[in-house]
Amino acid sequence: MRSGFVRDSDGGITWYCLPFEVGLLESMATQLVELVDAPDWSDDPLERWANERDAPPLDREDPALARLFPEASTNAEEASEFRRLMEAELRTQKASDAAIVLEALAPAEGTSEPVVAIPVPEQIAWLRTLNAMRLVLGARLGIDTDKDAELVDEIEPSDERAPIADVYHWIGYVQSLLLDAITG
Amino acid sequence: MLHMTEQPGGGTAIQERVDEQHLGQSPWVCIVWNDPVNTMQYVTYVFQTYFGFSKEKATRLMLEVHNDGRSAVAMGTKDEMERDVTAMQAYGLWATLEPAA
Repeated sequence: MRSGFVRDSDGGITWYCLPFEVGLLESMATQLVELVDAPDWSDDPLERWANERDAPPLDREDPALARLFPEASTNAEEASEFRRLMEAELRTQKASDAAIVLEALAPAEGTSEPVVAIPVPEQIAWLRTLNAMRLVLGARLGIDTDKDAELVDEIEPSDERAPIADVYHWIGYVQSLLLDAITG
Repeated sequence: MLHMTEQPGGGTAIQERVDEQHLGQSPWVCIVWNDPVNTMQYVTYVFQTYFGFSKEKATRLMLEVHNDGRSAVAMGTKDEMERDVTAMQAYGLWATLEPAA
């Protein structure tokens, strides 16, 4: 049986994975979409602008959101200006990246030997989404420094954070394999 | 900052940007900060993919971020740096903008 990420001659990637991996990524991607809570999309620019204006502000008290959407300046006025100009776009981008991953996973759902197609135009969305998942889990694990990251590598199986740390490590592994396949 | 309502023609915006530079408006930089979660492999890939840097240059900047805590990865007008910071944040890098020193 084939396994892992295989690149074809056009640069497209096929991922031969396990059923639990499809389910786990679907769950993580769905949570990510909910977390970034992007303004509703509309093809009408005026309606889109209204949706962006009415979108509830991000709760930056949540460390995961604070890390996904860092303040773009140490100057408070500049940071606020950047949020006003760019935040809706960034929320929409992260949600649409995750939606691309969910669409790619959907045909593999419930199959015993899942095969997931990741064509070239969708590869950046995959890498960004896997990365966003790591950032969220890293925030949930309280990783603020390089030292914290090392300590997460040493979490004991009995530790209540162990399941989150396992997923964090697994997503890092998947992202690394995908990058190897894309750049290799 | 230019506002759409103040410039009915696209040519105006271009002219104003040129004028800003002619008036000697100081450049801005896009800073990427060290981060304990993003991997070296991923950050290098992002610099190569978005900025079109060679593997060598992308690796050098990634190591600068890792070792010095931050690196100025791009320089230009404030609008351009807002665009680059947005792109870096879309990739999940911790990026900020500031006036060039």
